Amino acid sequence: MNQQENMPLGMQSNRRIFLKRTGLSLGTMALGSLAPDLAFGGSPAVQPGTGGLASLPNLRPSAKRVIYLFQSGAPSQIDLFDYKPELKKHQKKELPSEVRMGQRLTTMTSGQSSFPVASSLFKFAQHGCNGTWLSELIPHTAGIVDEISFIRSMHTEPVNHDPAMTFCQTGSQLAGKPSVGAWVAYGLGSLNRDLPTFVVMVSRGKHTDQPLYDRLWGSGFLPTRYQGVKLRSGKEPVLYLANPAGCSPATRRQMLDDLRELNQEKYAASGDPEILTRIEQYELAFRMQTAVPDLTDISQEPQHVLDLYGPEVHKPGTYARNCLLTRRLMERDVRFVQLYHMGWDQHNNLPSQIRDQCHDTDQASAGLVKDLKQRGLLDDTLVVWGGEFGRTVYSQGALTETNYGRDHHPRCYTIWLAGGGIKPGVVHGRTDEFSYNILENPVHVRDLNATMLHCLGIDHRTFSVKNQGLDTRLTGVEEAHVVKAVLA
Amino acid sequence: MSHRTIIASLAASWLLVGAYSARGADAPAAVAPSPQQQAAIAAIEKLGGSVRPVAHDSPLLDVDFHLGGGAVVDADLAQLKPLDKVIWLDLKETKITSAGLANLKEMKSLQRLHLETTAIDDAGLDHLAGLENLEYLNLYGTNVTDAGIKRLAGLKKLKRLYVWRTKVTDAGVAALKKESPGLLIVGGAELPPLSPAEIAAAALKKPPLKTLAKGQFVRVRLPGKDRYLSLAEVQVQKTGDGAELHKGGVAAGYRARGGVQPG
Repeated sequence: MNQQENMPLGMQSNRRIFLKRTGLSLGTMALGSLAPDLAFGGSPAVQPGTGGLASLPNLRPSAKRVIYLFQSGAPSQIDLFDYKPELKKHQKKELPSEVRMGQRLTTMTSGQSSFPVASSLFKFAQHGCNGTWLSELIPHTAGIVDEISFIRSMHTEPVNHDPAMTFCQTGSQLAGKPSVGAWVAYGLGSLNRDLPTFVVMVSRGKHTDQPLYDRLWGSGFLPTRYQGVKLRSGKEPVLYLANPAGCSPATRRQMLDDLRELNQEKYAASGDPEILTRIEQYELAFRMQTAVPDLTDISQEPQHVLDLYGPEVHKPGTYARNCLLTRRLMERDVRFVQLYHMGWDQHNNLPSQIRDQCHDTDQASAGLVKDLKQRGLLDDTLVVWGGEFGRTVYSQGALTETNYGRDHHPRCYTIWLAGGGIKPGVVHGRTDEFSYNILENPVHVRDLNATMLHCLGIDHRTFSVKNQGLDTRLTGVEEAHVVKAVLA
Repeated sequence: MSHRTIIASLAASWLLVGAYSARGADAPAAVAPSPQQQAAIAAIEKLGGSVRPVAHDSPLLDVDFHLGGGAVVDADLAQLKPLDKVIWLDLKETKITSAGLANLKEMKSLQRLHLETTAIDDAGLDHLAGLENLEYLNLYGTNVTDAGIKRLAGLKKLKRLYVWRTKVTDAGVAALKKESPGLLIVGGAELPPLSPAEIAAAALKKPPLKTLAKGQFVRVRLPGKDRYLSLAEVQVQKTGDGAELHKGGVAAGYRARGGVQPG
């Protein structure tokens, strides 16, 4: 539909004044193009896609869908991906000041009297055709190393979780901008009108101490129909979706038809785009009454497929189950699925806690990639695995033979990418021997977001929305570069 | 995307192409979809499919019957004929059969073709022999066999072929790989089963490449079937000396092969 382009998103800044001037005419125009999408008579049982801007994609896409496996809390790159054998020589010694260069630390360790180097307690080995070094903590990821590409030189600006996650998700440290999934839903539209375009699932590790705010998958200044829909882990993935006792589907349909007419009248009068959101959400909910139970019923999944994800797949709400549901969402062409797994924030007791985190996530992440591949879905699905920053080489708190902790470290961390448009088997970027500063090919969070959009066929420089008098982009006003080295 | 929008965006993209090719000529006329093409797009939409340009300024098309086209049958594919610039075609989970693929014979632009989880078999692959630009072919969950995929050897640009949950065997994959060395053939995600000879060879090396340790177990996949055999159906031998670890007997009529997978 074209109405998004015509729809003055800038009205969000001063909507009442704007509406008084032009609301009626624009409203009528937008409603005209909405109407065909609301026609249900004689249409097929499953609805194909809708929405999106006519101007997008403006590049030939290599991916149609995105899976963002967000590892909330910031996994330690030193204990998982960034092999630093030389650190053994520096064990327990003070981190050289020329490495730290007086860089900012969090208040959790800035008061420490010493910054002793803590090498990783875990063994590393080489895997895959190009001999990528990976930790023993992630044997299943090691098994797909030829399918994925690592960026070892990610860096970001914030030093604390909330601004850092907000930065990853929205391109801004301050809350209020749309999440990347909302940008994609707005720009490219849906491929399946029976399910939300942007779906979110959250799982918790055993040591979760960080909150996760719903605004991370919000739509910011975009209409709220683009915000992520969180599927719950309980019996009802979406609350109040089922009809109440005594209400037949036909009754529900008739009620929604009448309600829609009233809402359309109201929209014609006020021009408030949130009324369109309301109309669409009622209709989506009606279609989801059959689509969601079908999505979450995994009884037909054969055992050997479940086994790919590991034993926890049988437990709703786990990362493994969410990964399986993600594959089912991909089969249903849901555009953007965002998982969060919490609990990577290992300031203390890192060795024991990171084992638990890897146990929760390693097999399922790798299983998802394998399962997508055997179905031929990996070719046009972009998979991103990563957190909001890295962790320090120096120990937070006491450093012993068997225990240490690591503080937040935004100056370097590792992520991996796979699937649509990604060249497999690449290791991009290099850090110094302390995994503290980047030596080669730094990749900023903005660059990652630009690369994600690029894979979807969107030039991040031209994808903007007018907001508060500015052409606002996901990648902001500073330079951002697509990371061509990891592209096929 | 509504039907109206598709016509509009196609017209816009073809306009650009027309303008480019007619540079220097008098006022280039807008190149819009022909009435025949417009009718084809309308018919595809009515069938539950969608037609989109792959990018805003591209004349190339992405035609998708997945999700909406569950009732699409062979005869419906005739609607594709007027659309000469289709590079991606998704027929996943439609009701087509091999006969219907005759309608795709002239779609020389096709680069990506989804036929997975349909009823097609080897006969259908004959119709694809002329699709010289095909790079991606998904046959997972169809009835194709070794004999069928052999006919794909002539598709020189083919890079990826998906054959999970088909009747294609390891031998068939090996035969096609020999003729098309650059082709990636993707089967199931399980670890590849080891042949008895490979197990024996592994046992001779030091240290053994595959051994059973505490907490590990043997899984045997029945070739071509989507299930593991129970221990009662297979004979499990200790790697190395061949001592029987389990006396269940080999399932009659099958050559069960074992692979060790960490538990």
